[in-house]
Amino acid sequence: MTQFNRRKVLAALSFIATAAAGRPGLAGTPDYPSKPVKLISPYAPGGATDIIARLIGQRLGEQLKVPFITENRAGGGANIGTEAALRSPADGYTLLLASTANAANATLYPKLRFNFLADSTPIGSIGLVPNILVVHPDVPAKTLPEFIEQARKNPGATSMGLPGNGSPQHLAAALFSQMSKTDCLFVQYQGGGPVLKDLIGGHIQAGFASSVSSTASIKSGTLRALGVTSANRLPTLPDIPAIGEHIGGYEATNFYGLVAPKGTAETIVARLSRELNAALGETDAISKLDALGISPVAMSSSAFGTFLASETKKWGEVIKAADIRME
Amino acid sequence: MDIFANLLLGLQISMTPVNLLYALIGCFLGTAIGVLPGLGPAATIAMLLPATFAMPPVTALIMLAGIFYGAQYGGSTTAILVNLPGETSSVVTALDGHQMARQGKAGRALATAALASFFAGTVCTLLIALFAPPLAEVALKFGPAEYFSLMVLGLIASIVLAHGSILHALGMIVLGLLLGLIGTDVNSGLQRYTFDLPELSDGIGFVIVAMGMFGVGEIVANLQQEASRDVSINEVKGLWPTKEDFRRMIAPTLRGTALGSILGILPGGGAALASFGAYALEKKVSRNRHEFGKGAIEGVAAPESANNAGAQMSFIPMLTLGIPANPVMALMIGAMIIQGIQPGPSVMTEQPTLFWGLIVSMWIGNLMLLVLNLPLIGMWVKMITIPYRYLFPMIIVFCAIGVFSLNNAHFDVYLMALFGVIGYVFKKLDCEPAPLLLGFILGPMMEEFLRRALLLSKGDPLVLLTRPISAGMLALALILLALVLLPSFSVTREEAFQEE
Repeated sequence: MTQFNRRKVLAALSFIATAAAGRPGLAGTPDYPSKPVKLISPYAPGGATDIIARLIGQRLGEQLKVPFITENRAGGGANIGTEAALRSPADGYTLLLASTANAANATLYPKLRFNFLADSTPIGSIGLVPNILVVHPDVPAKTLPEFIEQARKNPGATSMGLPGNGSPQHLAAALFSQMSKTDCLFVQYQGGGPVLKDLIGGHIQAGFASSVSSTASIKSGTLRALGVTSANRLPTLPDIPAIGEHIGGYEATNFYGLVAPKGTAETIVARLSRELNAALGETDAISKLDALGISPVAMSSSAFGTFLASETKKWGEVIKAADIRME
Repeated sequence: MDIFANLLLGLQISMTPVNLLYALIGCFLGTAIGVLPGLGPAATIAMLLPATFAMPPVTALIMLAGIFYGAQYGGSTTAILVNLPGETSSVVTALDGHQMARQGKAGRALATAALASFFAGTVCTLLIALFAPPLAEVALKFGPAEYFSLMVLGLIASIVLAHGSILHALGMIVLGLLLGLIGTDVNSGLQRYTFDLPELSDGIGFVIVAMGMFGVGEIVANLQQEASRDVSINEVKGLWPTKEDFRRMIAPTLRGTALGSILGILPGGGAALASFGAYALEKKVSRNRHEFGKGAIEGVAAPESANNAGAQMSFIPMLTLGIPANPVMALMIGAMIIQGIQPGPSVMTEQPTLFWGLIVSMWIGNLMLLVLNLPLIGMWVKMITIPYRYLFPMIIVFCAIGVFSLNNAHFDVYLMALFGVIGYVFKKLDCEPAPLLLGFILGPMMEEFLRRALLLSKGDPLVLLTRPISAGMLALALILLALVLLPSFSVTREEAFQEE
């Protein structure tokens, strides 16, 4: 009996071994993906990044016929999750949801144990999220030029709420200060929700907030929008000018995209890039991303790589000029 | 009347079979994850979020809301049975609830928690239906100065939490404050006491400290005296509260509900104070205060009702202003916007079916939880009569799973073990963990609000006194402090709390 069982097991094992050897894919990539893919979101569940990861993961999972599992690895300003993803085997089964934080952290954190650009393989972009410069309705400035004048006249008098040191909104505000030559009092919060609360309550006067969290308040009049940080106006708020219309060249949008660890096979990257771009062309995905305030932007993997490098350089300069530190 | 028409509309929406089913699924899931220590509603809702994309918005929200308040119910179960508070709010429930369990009154404690929560849930559903927009206005009046003064009041009140020596309690609070310093400074981005460990850069998680000091520390201490513990747990004294129990829980439940409803509308910080505040209040006003910390039913009813009231009221800033009071509300907002609904002042008028459907479903969900939880009490109580040598490894494993699931990090599990050792040492030294945890929660918030208030006032500390709400709370804190420190009072206090 035991003998028989053992023989059966051995037979089964050798069958599996032969089958595996016979399948060309295990060493190469043609049957990628053959098991669930882990998508690391370097933030806690509940944030925008997390929701985007789950949305894109679900879509890619349906297209590639394997589950995409979002794993939250929060902490260290996205560095813990990023490091975990980039240190994973480069087999296409661990991906990272990359964002503006990765581009900024390269300069913000001088002691990182990895180099985001060098240690990652770009797959593609998901989209851009603009921020909006909003003020409490009691603030006298009705337009962006008036606001700039007010902030220039009384340096340090206009309080500006931001969702955290080194956050994309902080970077947008720092770039705004540098380019408009204004001096606002930056007040840091832990996350965008508390900023909105104090802004609507009139405890602070201005703030940079993500378009998605502030649009409802703008439309109902509890907040006044002065400008959007994207290069162009937003379709949802056509009356609000782009800040770049008044300050030439100003643009500060958060980006989201997918990257894999360095050394991931080109065929896998190409496959994922193709599927990601296909997902971004679907009306259902577009409408969900739109609702989250993300304008879907598809890019080839090499274009996304160039974009990552230019964002890293741009924010590096802004961070150095504003002397923002995280150490 | 308008409100009746609205509630009727809500009733129609929430009573459809599909919505009832999803409310039940949500409540069930919420209870399950609430009972498992560490695994929180935020992580669960995040995992289920993609599944809600295909549902109608109101159904999705009803289910997610069910998970949220289901977890509030479930959390107290573990706190009472095995002294494992998985959330901020259940820390104080563990104080007296677990003592009751040790005396064989686990069933009575669990039933009290469920009934008090249900009562608070019912009252708050009505409050939300009637007064949501004006209450949101009140919340907006609270700026950094007001929050700071509220936290000071909470911290002073927390001295009352301890039932041992005042000096020990003060020491533990200060230690908690210091632990709360670990992490990244909000204003400057500087790392404090992180020893270059990225794992510490966001500070230490509350769950890690609470489960380590309460759960693991308790287990180590229990193993030292295993025999006595088994005996005390085996004699079960009734599953249902007695007439006397009911009489004693009424006033604390009312007071807890009132305090929880007030604090709950304040996003970010208010709700954390609710259960602590309610417990401290009861300990001051109750006729049975000498029983506190030794299994007083008031010590379960008050924080549980306050906690559930606070949780329920945290829907107000979300529904009326689109401001998330906690990560769970942020996820609910995410679920709404993916469905194409912008949470904010317009939800009530533009989406009446969603608004009123959700509100009525809250009450239905609370009722379901009561129906779901009361029959389970018998099972839970049986569970703790399992011999401890089988029970404690299970508790440890669930603690480890729960803590690991927070960030998928081993580091957190080791940290919990470390706090377990610390918890054991403090137990030996007669230092209670509750004041430490309160200091740990309030410390970072106090610092943040104080610095923000001073930043906005250009460094003028008078802002804390010139704003009336803030000044009022500071005055209250001063009176409380005087009461605690006055010699005559402290004599009675020691009589009350130190006699065995």
